[in-house]
Amino acid sequence: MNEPTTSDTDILKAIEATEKSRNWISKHYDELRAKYQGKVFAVKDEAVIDSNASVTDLLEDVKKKGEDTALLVIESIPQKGVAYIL
Amino acid sequence: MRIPLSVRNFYSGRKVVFADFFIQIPSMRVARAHSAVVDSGSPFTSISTRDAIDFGLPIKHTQGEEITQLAGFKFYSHFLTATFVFRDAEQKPFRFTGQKVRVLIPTKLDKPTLREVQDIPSLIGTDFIEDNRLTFVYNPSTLTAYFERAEPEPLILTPTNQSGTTS
Repeated sequence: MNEPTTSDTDILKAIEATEKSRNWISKHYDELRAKYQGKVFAVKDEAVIDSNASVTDLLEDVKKKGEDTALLVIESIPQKGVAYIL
Repeated sequence: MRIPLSVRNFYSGRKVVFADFFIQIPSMRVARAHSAVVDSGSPFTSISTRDAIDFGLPIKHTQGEEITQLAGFKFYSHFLTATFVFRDAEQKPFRFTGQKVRVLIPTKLDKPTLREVQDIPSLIGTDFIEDNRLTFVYNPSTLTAYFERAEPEPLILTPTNQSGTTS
């Protein structure tokens, strides 16, 4: 069976949408940190549509709402006082 | 060829360089947009546990896999082959095919560990930069960052005389 292929136009649109959501997160990082510290959240069209303490539970919730998770940006903010050196 | 990257706010109030791209992993039926931190201190490109769960990749252990330590956690590395499609400065797609990428699965699969590691992002490491002969530029003063690859020099054939020396 052949895999469906994604056109270059669709690929560029998907990159642009992700970039837009990620830039929105960066721009509003302080507000988001205050609200979602220690949580994972889903962003669509420059808005947080759901959050949870666990990424697995978050994905279940957004799927129940009929969202296509491939079109969402999933981001998390560590608990207060936690930093990572990668 | 230049690929613009984004400088964004990150966990600790510091700015970090992100790459936004499209990832295709045919063996796992993954085809979607993705973002990763460009980490010139990491030798490996990896898909984080959080992103692996988001992609629907199996979070389970396979015997004999290499252990990677990152941010104080131990992970088994599950290797996959992916295509990374970036948008270049001319707004055209640029493909890097056959990229080996590690999916990081924590050695402990209990709920508390999965919650702790979910803050660790996917990374583009120096393997990607080296293997694809890229230059990575980050100027924190101007908040600009990009990958660049020099176009290959055109091959110029010089006519030779009968003695084999160039004229």
